[in-house]
Amino acid sequence: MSGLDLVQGTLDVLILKTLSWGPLHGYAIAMWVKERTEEALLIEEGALYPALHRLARRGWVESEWGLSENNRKAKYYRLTPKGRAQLKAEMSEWDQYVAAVGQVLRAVSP
Amino acid sequence: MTPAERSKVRRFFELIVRGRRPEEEVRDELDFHLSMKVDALMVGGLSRADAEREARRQFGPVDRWSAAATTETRGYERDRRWRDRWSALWSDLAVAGRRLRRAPAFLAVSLALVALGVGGGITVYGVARGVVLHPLPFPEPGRLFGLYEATADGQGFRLPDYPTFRDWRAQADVFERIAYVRGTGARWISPDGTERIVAAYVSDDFFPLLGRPALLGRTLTAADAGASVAVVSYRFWRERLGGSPGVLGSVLNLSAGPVTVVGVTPPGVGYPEWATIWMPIESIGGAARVALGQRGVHADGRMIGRLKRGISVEAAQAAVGALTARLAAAYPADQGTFPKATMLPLTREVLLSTSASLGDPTQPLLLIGAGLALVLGIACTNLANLSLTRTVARRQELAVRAALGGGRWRLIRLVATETLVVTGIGGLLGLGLAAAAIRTIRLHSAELLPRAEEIVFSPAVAAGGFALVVAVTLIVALIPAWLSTRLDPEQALRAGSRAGGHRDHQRLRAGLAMIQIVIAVVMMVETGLVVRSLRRVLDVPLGFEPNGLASIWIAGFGKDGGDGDSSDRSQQLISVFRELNEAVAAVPGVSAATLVNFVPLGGSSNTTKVFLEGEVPDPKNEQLAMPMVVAPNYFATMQIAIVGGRAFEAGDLTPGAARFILNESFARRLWPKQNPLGRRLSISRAVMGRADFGEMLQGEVIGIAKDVRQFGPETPYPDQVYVLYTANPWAHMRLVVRADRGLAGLLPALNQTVRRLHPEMPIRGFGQVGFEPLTDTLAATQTSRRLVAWLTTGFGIATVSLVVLGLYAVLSYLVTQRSREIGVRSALGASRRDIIRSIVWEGMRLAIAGVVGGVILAAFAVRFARGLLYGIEPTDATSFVVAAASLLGVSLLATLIPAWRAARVDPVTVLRAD
Repeated sequence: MSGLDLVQGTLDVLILKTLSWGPLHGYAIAMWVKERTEEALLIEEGALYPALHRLARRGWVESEWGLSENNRKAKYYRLTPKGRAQLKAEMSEWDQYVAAVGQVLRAVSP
Repeated sequence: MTPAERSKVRRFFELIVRGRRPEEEVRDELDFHLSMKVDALMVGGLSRADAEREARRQFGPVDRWSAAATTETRGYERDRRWRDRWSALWSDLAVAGRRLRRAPAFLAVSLALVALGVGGGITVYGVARGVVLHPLPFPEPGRLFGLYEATADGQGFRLPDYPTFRDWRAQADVFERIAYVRGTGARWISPDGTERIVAAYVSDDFFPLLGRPALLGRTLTAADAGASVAVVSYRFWRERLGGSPGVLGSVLNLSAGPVTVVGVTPPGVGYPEWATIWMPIESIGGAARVALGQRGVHADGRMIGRLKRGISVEAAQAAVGALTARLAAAYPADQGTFPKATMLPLTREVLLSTSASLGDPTQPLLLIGAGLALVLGIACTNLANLSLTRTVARRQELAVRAALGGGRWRLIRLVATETLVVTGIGGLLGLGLAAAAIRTIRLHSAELLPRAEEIVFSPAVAAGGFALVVAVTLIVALIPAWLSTRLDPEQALRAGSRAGGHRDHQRLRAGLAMIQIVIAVVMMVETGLVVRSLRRVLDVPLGFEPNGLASIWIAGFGKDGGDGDSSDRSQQLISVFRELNEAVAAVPGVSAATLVNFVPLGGSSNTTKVFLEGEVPDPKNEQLAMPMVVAPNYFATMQIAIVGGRAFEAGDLTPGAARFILNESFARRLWPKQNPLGRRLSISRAVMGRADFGEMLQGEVIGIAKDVRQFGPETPYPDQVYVLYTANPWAHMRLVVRADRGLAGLLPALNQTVRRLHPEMPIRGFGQVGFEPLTDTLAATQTSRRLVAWLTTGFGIATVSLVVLGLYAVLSYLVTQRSREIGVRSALGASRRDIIRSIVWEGMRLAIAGVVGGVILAAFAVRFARGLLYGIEPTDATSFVVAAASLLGVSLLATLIPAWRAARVDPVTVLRAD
């Protein structure tokens, strides 16, 4: 397997971000993450599920059974207000991190 | 809907819709994912088999992911359950708090009940624990016994002498160890002057037997035999020796010679309790040493034993019984009259020393326990009653909940939470109350209670209090809660707001109120009996007048510190005593001064054999009496009446034939129907160990003195024979002065006089500093009776006030419940008086039934308190009448306010409200 190894926390943020546009079931989340990252981040799709349940336990997402687009029973996940706040916090942290690392890497003189 | 409720509702539907286990859910979720993936891949052109393989490859190990997800979900469920429980509890508490705030009267009464009940209970427990229940501070105290010789009928006891102890130690193999302790007064020449201390000379097994190591240094062992070493008590070390570890190795100057301190006992650990200093018995000197070797010297020497493990008390009794029988056969002269043995548990002996005037220490204990149970019982029934009352008031709400399917447990919780809040807060208040009360008692009862310093709000007491609160909560919360779940919803709903409460509940409430009155009557009867007993005791004629008398312990010590043991010494003793007697009599303000060896109420005693002239001495049937050695003016100074013959006169002091005065009881016993005056008898000189010990003193009876309560108002008159101090010199005497006015102000001058004449005389000693008023000693003999009277009075007041509160609460509620009926009645023309009368009658019906029941119960219950009574019968009519009347009186008061409130019910308002 090649590509970037995914840190657990990063997968959590990706899921939260994905859900910020609206409720989705697990398969849709996996596909969405795959498309957006253009498969640069290689994850096994199954790894998504422990992460989803962990987020539910922390109260960041909540789940509900519903019907999928092709009329099958699917479990839908939705961001909770707590999860949205968490996403916001993680995003600003990420921006700061990227900015800091970027400054170092682009430095022209020691 | 609150968020919490919304989530509950949602979970409820979730359960109905799926109600599956977490692993099934996760499996479904993963299956959906895989099937979507397969569909997508097949759209992309793969065969089903290839698509499935590819989907699984991209998904990764299904089992691993599903297991990980399931674990998370399970944890989530667990977290949620706990969160729900807590939030349910908090919301229950919040609801209960809101409801209680809306009923401030109920809250105040309930809190007062719990706080008083629990606070009172813990206080009494704390005091009892400190004063009475205080356990012996030695390991396995149940195996420790005091060993005594007993008469054939088992009625008389005697402290064994030292040779007997040696026999026991050699032969009694049921004991692990046996030790002997000989108590004696000693003088310590301290930098502040001479001080009297109490020394215990102990055999080498003594400390190992007790089993507690020293706090500092070491205890005494067999290697110390004969050495001049000593262990001192913690208190003596702290108060008199400076309390520093440097005490080890220091030398104390005792009258008997210098001793080196080798150890300090731990605080509160000492046996006998009075001991200040412990020394090896082999180091005992002078006359006492001679006495120790003699059979028949039963002065202050105790024998204690530690029973071997696994040997029952009965088996040990049998073994020591056989042993004493053997000794009695071997030494008929000394042991013949005491052929049996008695083992008294040391725990009991210590108790006896604190409740001397009441004899059996279990009686006050029983009383304390019973009183406590009764007070708490009333507090609990009261609370249960109030709580029940509220439950009934909420019956509609509860019925609705029950009709809607609220579970029984849920309903119980609803009712119980409220009680929990009340008992919780009330219990805390009670604990605070008890802590304050215990502190106050400790600070202010040093004179009243023995071991007052032991009365502390210790963790053990707090734990007892906590257990009490839990017990109260369970009783009070669960009964009404359980009853409330038996409500029939249909009936309660149909009855609407009109019904006057569930009939069963009303009957139950009335029953509880009545039970309280019954208990209170019993308590009041008990209080009456005990208080009246105390008054009887205080009224007992002592046979002398203690007011205005003070005494000090004096001894005819020579420069060598030894006791008198020669006729020269006798003359010296006599002159020292006479000199002191005359000196204090001359102090301005003193109206008389006299001498006596055993001052009444002083507690000490001795016996001497008495032989009647012309009778053959019979060792099996000896006449024993208490030898009273006095100055001629003793009877006049003490104000003891002479009922026959004459008192001693100064002229009798001159050497010659001895003259005796007997007390009435003894004279009557010796010569039941004949004139005792002019009879001749002889007594043996009873100062143990002295050279003339056992010699006969012959003389004539010249007078009969009125009986004196020598050992306090409750102890029978001893047989006494009075003799002048010149005829039978005694080494230790009491100098007694009478000052009819301003005795307290004279004490310093009196002490000064003694100190000036005899600086070596110990003015100060534990428990006594110089002259001590006899009224103080008298009060001390009544300590436990006063304590018991105090406690019962306290319990009595507590029960009665609780009963008033309870009755008031029940009736108030009744009036509220029946306000509609009352309204209708007054609308129909009933006068206020009619209404007041009917409510008062409701209350008084309960009160009368309760009083009748209480009187009947008390008639049985007081039998158990017989031992606490003095001078009155348990069926004392006054106590019963006063108890019944006072209960009826306060009950009437309790009914008046609710009745008055009922009379003010406005019919229009009440009827419109429906």
